Amino acid sequence: MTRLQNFLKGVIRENPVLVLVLGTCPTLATTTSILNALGMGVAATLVLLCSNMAISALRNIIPDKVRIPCYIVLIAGFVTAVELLMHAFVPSLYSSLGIFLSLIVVNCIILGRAEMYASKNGVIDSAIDALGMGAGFIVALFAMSFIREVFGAGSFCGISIPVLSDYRIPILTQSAGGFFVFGCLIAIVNKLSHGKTQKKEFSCAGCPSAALCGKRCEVEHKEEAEA
Amino acid sequence: MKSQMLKCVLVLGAICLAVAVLLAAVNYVTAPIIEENARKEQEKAYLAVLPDATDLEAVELTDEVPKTVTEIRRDKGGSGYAFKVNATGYGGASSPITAIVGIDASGKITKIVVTDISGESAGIGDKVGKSDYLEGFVGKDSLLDGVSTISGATISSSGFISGVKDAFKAFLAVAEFEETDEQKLARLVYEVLDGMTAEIGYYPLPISDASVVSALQADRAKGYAVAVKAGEETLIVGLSPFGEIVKAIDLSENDRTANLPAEVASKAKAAIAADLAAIRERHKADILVHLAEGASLTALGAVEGLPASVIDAYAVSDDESAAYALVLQIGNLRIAATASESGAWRSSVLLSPVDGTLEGTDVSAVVQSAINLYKEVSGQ
Repeated sequence: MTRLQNFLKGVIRENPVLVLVLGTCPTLATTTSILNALGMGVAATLVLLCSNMAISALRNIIPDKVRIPCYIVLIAGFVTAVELLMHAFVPSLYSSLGIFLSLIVVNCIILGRAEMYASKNGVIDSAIDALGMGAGFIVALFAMSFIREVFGAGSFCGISIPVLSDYRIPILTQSAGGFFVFGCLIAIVNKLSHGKTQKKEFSCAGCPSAALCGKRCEVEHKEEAEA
Repeated sequence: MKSQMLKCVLVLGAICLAVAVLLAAVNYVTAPIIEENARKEQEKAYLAVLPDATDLEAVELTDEVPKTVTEIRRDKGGSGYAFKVNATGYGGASSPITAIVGIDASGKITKIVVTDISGESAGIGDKVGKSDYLEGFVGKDSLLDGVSTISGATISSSGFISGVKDAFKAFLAVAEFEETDEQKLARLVYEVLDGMTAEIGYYPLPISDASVVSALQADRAKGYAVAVKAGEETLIVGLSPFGEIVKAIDLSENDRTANLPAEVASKAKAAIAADLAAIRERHKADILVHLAEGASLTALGAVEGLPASVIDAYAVSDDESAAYALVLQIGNLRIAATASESGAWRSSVLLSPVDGTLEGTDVSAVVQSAINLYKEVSGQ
């Protein structure tokens, strides 16, 4: 696929949050405020970019047996570096993101893309994929946080909106409302792509529920391919 | 196989090394900036409580400064002092409430900023850090008149208040400040009885004598503190739960127990007499209802060497099993217990608090030693 297609797939067709349903924890946690959501999105994209490029560059050197530990060391290293830089240069954002900054290490988007794409493709392609996925993450985060902050708290980026702030729906800023908004967004995206969204391209080894599931993904994939 | 294993180890090791070097480099660059930012935040907090301050300098902590006060800043321009206090709240000493208290040159609080309240329960204890509570402290002097604990968050707020009082103690230690007699009184009345802590409060008693400035009953049966005017000066008298005088000090903190004027002693005892009698009546009623129905009780006074947990004692007659009845205060539990003629414990009942439990509390040893003392005194 062309470079542009590679970039765009991360934004719409294979949006990591709304289609691949990865990275839901930080999505739900940081989208109570638009500024926090954008901060998280940018931080995660930065880490994704660095880790994708590094893993792609080292893909021929890292033996298969130790690839997960190697990926995690690299990802954790980049996350820590981003954390330190944030703490030094944007301390207010650092303290609002709090523990969710550290949790980027276990953000499934990053390990997932490393496993799925970066370990099999060149550095430039991996970089573009990372930027695409990151952009998709930011778009999804922005959409969720926009709804939750504007209608839930009646403000935009901390600035109170005159009429809406009197008629806000506080539950949207809490967990239950967050899940509800999340579900609605996934439904909308599903509808808009007429259900033709890509099935998970995960290999079982990279999937977090590998130990539990009955390999249904593989079965469904095969059925679709045959149909 | 071995070469594969070796390759795995080498590659993983090399990656770890490279990442470590990267992080060391980033840390080297960012650590000083982070430290500088933290320091600026700190200093900003001190400036926040002393808005008119021009130039802040650190003040050395002397021995008189309470241990909970960790840093002191003085405004060279004379607008006051800022104290960093670690108040022990619900989170205990390991997770204190850190607050910066600003006190101006006239001994009044300028502002309090809470910088760390993570040890308190969210939505309950952390109300202490909210501005509507902290605003209540502004302009108050060490008497903290009108400041009360937050209902539902007693431990957090009373711990916080005692932290603020520590800031005042530090202020007295480092600033040249003349306390008014009222302020001295308020502070010293707390220090006349041993074992007073932030958890133990004082309840004021009604006063009828004009020369008695204040009469307070300490919670947990710690005793009483009465401030009496004697001529030109005011003396603070500490009394035991039995109503005996245990200590007396003047406003300059000199010990006056030995030569306490008889008039002062009798006024102090008179001031608490009504409350003491009421408490005794309650104890007797409780003992008669729960432990020794139909018996009659004779009050026994205090004897020397009585365990501190014994706050009231009676001889019981016309009862089959009990010859003595004692009231004990152990921690926050008030317990009535009966003993046989020989001092062996018979039965107990919990008088307060309502939701307390006697489980795990063994009073037999205390009862035995107390009864032994009483028998010694009465010559048996």
